[in-house]
Amino acid sequence: MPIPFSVSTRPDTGLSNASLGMWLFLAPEVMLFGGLFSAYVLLRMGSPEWPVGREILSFPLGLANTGILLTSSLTMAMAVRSLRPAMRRWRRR
Amino acid sequence: MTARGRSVWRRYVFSLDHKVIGVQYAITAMVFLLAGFGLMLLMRWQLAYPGQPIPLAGAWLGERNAPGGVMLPEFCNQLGAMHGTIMIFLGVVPLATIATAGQTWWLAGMVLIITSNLLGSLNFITTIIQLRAPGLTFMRLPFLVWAQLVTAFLLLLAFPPLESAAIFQLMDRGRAASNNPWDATTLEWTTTSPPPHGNFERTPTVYRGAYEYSVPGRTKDFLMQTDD
Repeated sequence: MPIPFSVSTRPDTGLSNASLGMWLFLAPEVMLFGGLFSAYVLLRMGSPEWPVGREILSFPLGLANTGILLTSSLTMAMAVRSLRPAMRRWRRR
Repeated sequence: MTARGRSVWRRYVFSLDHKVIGVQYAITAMVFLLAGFGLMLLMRWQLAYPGQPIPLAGAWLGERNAPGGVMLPEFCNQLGAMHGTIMIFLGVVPLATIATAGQTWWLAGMVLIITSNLLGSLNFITTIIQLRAPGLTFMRLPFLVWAQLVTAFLLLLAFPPLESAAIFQLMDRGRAASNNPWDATTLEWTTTSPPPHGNFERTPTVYRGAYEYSVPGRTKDFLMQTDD
């Protein structure tokens, strides 16, 4: 038996299972990164001196990381774009 | 396809049947309860009889961890950390002069268990909200389901800050703090963390009460119980 509302929306909530899950997932993300960023702010405000990024970080590693980040969003965007016609066909069924 | 037509693997391990998943939860919980209980027994036995070989289990702990069946303090701490990870009750905060692997494992375990708990709570909340039977309104939900929904929301919001704390502590690993990094006065800050077997290298002498801050005529703002 297929799981209900995995593609279609549930009438009373107006959401599919995955969209509700994604919306809920944002709450713990906010809490996780809120903790990380507020700890960073506290550490930075409380420390008498802060190192300059250029002096302690590696340029080639940073370049490689940026490349990976950008290409991963590119492939994501390409995946969404090529899924769109199939999703439209699915909804019309 | 009916459940009967599927392989044993699909039917019992990667099952989508909620009754089978319930049994999986129960079995996993019991296995980890017993594993944690076993580690706890080994550790506590060695603390109760320091320097004596552990009967039966001492032999298979290995010469590196327990020479002659007598557990090394470092290994005891690792067992303690693993036991804490499995039981998720309390772990020694890693303010350590000696960086033991056990504390790193404990933190890594915290990050993993919190992530899996988060995804589990997302699953519970989504299932409870989206997959109620038609006509099963929130006020008609069984009490157990209500309690599970509330618990899942608590886990969802309370655990991520702990996860970020665990991530920060993982980044701090290898940068050792002193025995008494925040100038506390009480006795437990005179020993190392993790402490040796028997808690103190030698029996400490106590000269004063526990909270001696700003004593007149002294240069230090705080006096430890062992300062005469």
